[in-house]
Amino acid sequence: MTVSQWSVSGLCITARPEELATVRAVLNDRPGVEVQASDPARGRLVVTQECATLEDHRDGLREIQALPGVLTADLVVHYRDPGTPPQPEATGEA
Amino acid sequence: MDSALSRRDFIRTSVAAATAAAVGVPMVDPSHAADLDEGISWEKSVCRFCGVGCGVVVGTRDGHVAAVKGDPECPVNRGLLCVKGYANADILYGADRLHKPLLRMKDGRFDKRGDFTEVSWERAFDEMERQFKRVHSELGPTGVGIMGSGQYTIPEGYAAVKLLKAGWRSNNLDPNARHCMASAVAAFMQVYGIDEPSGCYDDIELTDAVVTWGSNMAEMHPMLWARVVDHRLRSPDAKVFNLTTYSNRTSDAADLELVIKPQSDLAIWNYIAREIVLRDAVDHDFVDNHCVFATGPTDIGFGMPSTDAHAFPAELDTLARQRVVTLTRDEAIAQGLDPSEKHVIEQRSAAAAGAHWVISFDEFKRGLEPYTLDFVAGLAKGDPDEDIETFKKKLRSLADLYVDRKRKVVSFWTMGFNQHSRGTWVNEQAYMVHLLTGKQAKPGSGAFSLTGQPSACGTAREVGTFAHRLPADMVVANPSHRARSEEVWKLPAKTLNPKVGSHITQQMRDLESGAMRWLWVQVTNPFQSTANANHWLEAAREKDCFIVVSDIYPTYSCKVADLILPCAGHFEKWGLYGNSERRTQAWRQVVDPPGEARSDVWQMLEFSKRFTVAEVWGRQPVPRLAAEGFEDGFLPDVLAEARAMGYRPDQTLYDVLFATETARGFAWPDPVANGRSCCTVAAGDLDWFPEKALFEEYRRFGLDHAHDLASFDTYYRDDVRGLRWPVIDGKETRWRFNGVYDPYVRDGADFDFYGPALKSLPLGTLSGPTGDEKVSLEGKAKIFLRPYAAPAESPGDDFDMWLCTGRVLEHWHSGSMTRRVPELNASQPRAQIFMNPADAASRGLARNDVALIESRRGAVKAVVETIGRNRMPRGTVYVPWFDEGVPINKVTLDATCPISKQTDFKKCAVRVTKA
Repeated sequence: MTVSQWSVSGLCITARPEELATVRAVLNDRPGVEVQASDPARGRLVVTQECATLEDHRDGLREIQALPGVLTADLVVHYRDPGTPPQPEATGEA
Repeated sequence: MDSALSRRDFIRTSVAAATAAAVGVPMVDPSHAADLDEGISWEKSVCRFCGVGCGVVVGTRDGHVAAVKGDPECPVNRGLLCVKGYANADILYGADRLHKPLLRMKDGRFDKRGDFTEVSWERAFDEMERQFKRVHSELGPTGVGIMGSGQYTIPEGYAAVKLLKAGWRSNNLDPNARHCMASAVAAFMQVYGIDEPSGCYDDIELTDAVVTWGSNMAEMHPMLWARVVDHRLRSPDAKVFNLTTYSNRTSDAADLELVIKPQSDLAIWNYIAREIVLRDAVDHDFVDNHCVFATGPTDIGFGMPSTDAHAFPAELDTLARQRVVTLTRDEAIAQGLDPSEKHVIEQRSAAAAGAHWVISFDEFKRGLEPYTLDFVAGLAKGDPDEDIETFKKKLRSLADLYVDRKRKVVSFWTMGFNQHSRGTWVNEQAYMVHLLTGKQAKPGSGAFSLTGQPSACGTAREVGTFAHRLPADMVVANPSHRARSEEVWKLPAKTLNPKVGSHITQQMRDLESGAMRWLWVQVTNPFQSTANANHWLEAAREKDCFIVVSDIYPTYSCKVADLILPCAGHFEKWGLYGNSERRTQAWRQVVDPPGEARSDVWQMLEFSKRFTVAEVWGRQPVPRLAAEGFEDGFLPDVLAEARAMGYRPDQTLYDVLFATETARGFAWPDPVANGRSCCTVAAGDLDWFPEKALFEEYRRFGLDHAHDLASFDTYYRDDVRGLRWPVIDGKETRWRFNGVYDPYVRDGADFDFYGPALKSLPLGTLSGPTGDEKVSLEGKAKIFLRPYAAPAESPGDDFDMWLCTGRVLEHWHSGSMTRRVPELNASQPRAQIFMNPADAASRGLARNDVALIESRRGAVKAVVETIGRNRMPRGTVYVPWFDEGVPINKVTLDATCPISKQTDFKKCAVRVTKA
């Protein structure tokens, strides 16, 4: 089952301070991803990721976790509009 | 379109602001942080999941939990939450929440072969009572039991202990926490004489080194791991080492990773201790003043059944090791024996595995002699593709860390140690190294067991929902502990049963043998979580037994139940949890449970109304009961004394255990509720507050016994985010046994290991005690010498790989809650088998193929994963257990630590082929 709905996640990313600038640039190049704030002394970035499906969120987070220089990447906030609960996407079987 | 776009901009900005606020990163314009919260009312609460105990704030709107955020005021997580934490709201709203009791029925009557049919609570309790009384009249108190949980709230666990032990006079109450931290408990009792850690999470920011042993903190305790990583990045000299049987996310941020062979941790600790002694890094003052050396028997078996009566034919060879073991070459060397000879050892001490005696420092040193770098490196290297010299260098670096007198060290462990057929030993060994070097019970230094469940400490351990325990570290086998409990509970003398009940795995074996035939499962999913599950699944359905499961969802265990009772979820009831650092935290009910779902407390109180004192407090058979003052095989009739105490025989257990005069004094409505409701009060139409009455009565056990808790109301104050016990004069205790911090330390002492249990021991040598005379060890901690021992089952010709099981970040335990959260389920929809690409290739398997995983006990299929979070060394596979579609516990082995009775879920032998 594919769950389809636009949503935004807020991620907290920790990188080695010396690699923070590189990680930041790589993140900003990713579609739907924006670095929103940073705390260079602690190697922390606050990042938003917009995706059309939950699977895209999952894959995006996994790819970010695997980026060189990234130590931790944790989902902090995930927002779906309350008006439209997630629905199974039409599979074409009907 | 325009409005949709601008709404997306708004949401994006708000999410960014909320994230930044949560993790303490400054933003230029934080004004949007609250924008998404419009119309939501917030209340402090506690996360439902792991033992870290993160504070959350829960937001409600229109009688619905609308949002959950990390609590910035909570010192545990400081506003951060992991991906599961944010799902605290969604776990209440899965489409298949249970709303009505369901009973197996056919032609309008209960039938074990019938279909689940909605019934009223009264009909449900009628059948439960009928079945209970049928079994109880045939088998007595040991024929019935409760499987509880480290997810019980404190009042729930306390109600269960009281109902079962004081009311029904059975000790067959054991929590899933037995699978989780029983080895940690056993070691605390053996080493300190009192349960739970000396240190606290503050150690993370105060230490110079963190060593994780069998603990993938990055996935299993993410918010503590975030603190470790944060501290590491700010402290250039700090180190993080990860010891593990496969490469995992914790390794990613570690300075050094050691991939070790399963069970070799026992040898590695002894290598470190040997180095400490050789390099004279012993803190002699600390050891001489506060410690003694001890050891115990080695012929203790593996906690497997002592009979083959119910074994599958393929299990017989593994089961035989319960009775007789031929030592491996490594075991012989490790025990100082000649490895060229054959050593066949009968396991004579299996029934008294925890016995121990005091030895001299010289004997201790003699026991460490075999653990040279060469020997231990050969035994412990876990990655066949790693060069031995590289591994030796890593082992030396590890020893250097502990040996360095100037370096403060924290050792964390979780299931890699606790789920271990020598789990108690390996816990004791961690204390061995920390005590030898004086790196224990001090800020920034200590060996620290992390728990897996939110109230494994607060409820399972402190309340004592174990087969051998009573509240506040007391045990049923101790006459003075029973007397004290009978006094608090206002019971006639000898009401309590002195015979230890069946631990959770034994309860499963009792169902299979017919020794137990009525079971109530509360807040747990044991038919998915107990090892060697094929036996228990068949017993549940085919034997003459009645199984009740209380839960919020139709779990795997519900499927084999006879009666399912729908429960209130976390935020739908009042509760308190106790986390890994002794912090007790509380929350209020903020929404009502759906349909006819009821709190577990209400279920127990209501069911207790169906038993009169006369029915349960007469003379009762208890097979093999033998205790001073008791007739062999029987509990006495205590009704005459009950009458003398003012009880009438027709009074119910509800009257005498729960709705007592004192309990009813805790009136409802109560100002502490702040206008919130209580579903227990509502369902029972009560004018008193059961959760508060239960907590306040329970608290009496710990006062002045080094377990002091604050009052119920204190934990609900707006300015309190939990308190670490003992709480004395309103102040919490951060480091126990340390004179600077712990009010229980004797005046003038710098350290005092004052735990009272197991503090009188005979003297002896490595071979055994040398006499019967006992010495007092008051105020001392014990440094145990424990040898390397081979596991219950190892890979061989037919089953050639190690299987390790565990969790993944996104799912918690059996997945009954997290798999109903779309984000979490989408992110990790099924359990995979993680394996080394070379192992996969040699079996004709590629990534995403389906593999068959078989052991002597059962088989499951899972999709192959060769990359990603877990990178396996050749020879080892990992399968998480959250997925009921991949019930890996059909494959695992139910060997336990013979001392703690905790199952070793981390190692058994399997064969993996293409399905």
